[in-house]
Amino acid sequence: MVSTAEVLNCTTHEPLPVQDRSGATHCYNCIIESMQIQAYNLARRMLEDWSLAEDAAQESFVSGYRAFHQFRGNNLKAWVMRIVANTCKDMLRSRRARPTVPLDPISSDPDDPTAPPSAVDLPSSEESPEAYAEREELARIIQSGLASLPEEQRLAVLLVDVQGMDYEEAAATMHCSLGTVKSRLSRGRGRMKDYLRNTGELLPDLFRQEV
Amino acid sequence: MLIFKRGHTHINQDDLSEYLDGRLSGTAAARIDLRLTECASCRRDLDALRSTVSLLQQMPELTLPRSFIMPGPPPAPVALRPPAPLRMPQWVYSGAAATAALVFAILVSADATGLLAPKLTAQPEVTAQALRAAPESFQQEDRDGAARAIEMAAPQAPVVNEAISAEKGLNIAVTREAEVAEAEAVAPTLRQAAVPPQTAAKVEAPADTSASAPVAAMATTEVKEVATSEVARPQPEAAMSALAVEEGVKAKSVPLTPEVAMAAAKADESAKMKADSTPSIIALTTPQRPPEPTTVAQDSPRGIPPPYNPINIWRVLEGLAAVTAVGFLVVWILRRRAGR
Repeated sequence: MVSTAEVLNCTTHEPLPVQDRSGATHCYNCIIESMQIQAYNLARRMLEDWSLAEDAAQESFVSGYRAFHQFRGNNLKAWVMRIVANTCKDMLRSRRARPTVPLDPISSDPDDPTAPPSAVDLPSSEESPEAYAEREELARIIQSGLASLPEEQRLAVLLVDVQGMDYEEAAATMHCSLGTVKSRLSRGRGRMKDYLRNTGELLPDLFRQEV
Repeated sequence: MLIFKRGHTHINQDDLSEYLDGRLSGTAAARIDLRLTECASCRRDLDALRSTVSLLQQMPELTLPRSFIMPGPPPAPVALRPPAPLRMPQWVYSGAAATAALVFAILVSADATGLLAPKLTAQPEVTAQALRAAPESFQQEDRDGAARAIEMAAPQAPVVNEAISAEKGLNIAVTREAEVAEAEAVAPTLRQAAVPPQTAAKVEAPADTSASAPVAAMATTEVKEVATSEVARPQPEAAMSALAVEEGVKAKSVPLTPEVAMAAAKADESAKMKADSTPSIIALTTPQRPPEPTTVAQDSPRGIPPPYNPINIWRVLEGLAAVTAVGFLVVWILRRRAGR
């Protein structure tokens, strides 16, 4: 048994040793630390529901821990994000099977500390309230546009445009071919474009001119 | 020309998307560059796409509600699920219910159409009643009763009916009557104790004349044989004597042709139906007989297989199928409710 303290030089958290397929030891908490923002963001954009997104991220990391021995040691980000994407898909599926009253992530009440965070979350201090309101409105519209996309197209758009993955990484994450990524991405972008055109008010001039 | 040009040269969405990401090869990108200079619509499309992507890229990163760092290894997955057999998918239950219902339907329809008939018996109480009532009514109106019985029984025997329609006008009936008469002559002792000869003749004769063919005639004989044996079961002595009587007839009339055997098999089925549906008619055609030596039937070279199968296995299976179908249906409904 490898001594974790020796192999894993973790200072900010409890070392959590895991071994990949080749037998190399990693600290799983380090992996979580490096991936959790992206994982949570993907889950949140996929699911909309903030509490579900938290559950999805948590569940994904637990699943990842249990399945880490299958990890081949290359492209950790794609591996983790694939687990997150699959967890989100499962949740969407079970939500479709058992529809509940959705917790609206958008209608957050600033006076209520227990209210869920908005799509933009906390305003930065240097931003004017108007700018913040406009930005939040824009983010809300984009988020509803994303929600209107089919699941796979939404995932492709999120991975490439929001998360900044390249096509190859997105293909590894989505477990599909490069061509499939291209077509899903282009169709998702096209739909987003149409959605933003049709909503209009706070969008850049370009869209308003074209309507 | 213009339509062709416009329809043909717009840049498709996939290419535009890839072009925007700079993923097209040199020649392909150059082609799109060229097209963009020519087509204002394509330029607008590209600009709109670029703005869309730009908005998506600017989406703010959401802050974490909490850290997902684990304090220690997560616990092994808890078996929250009930044991496997209870967690089969819904379609297993609905499918099992449907299958059981189908089996039930098949059994019932097979039962109703008489396919399972060889295993079915007449209702004992009804038959006993009919047998009890038979002697008086038979004595009173034995001729009429027998004639009526034949009349009523005839439409229920498809084999006979077919023969009627197919072979109407043939005169073979005469031969058959002669045979029957001969058969009766061979078993005079049995006849004495049993049916009054003229009644028996009546019973045989109308059937024969209406059938008008050896096969059909044989069928009616068989019909009565089996019906008799079925009805008479509750009273063994009567059954035996009935067998004896009919044996006498049969012994003579059977060895006609090979196809007679097939006709007999067919007739068995229709006889079963009659045994079930019209016990009183059968009772009329089988009046009470005094006891006869039980060895007669066994001694007979062509003994009728004795009636057997007192427990009706098909009815039991029908019941089982029905219970299974209802059971699975209930489980399925309960699980559907629980699943909501």
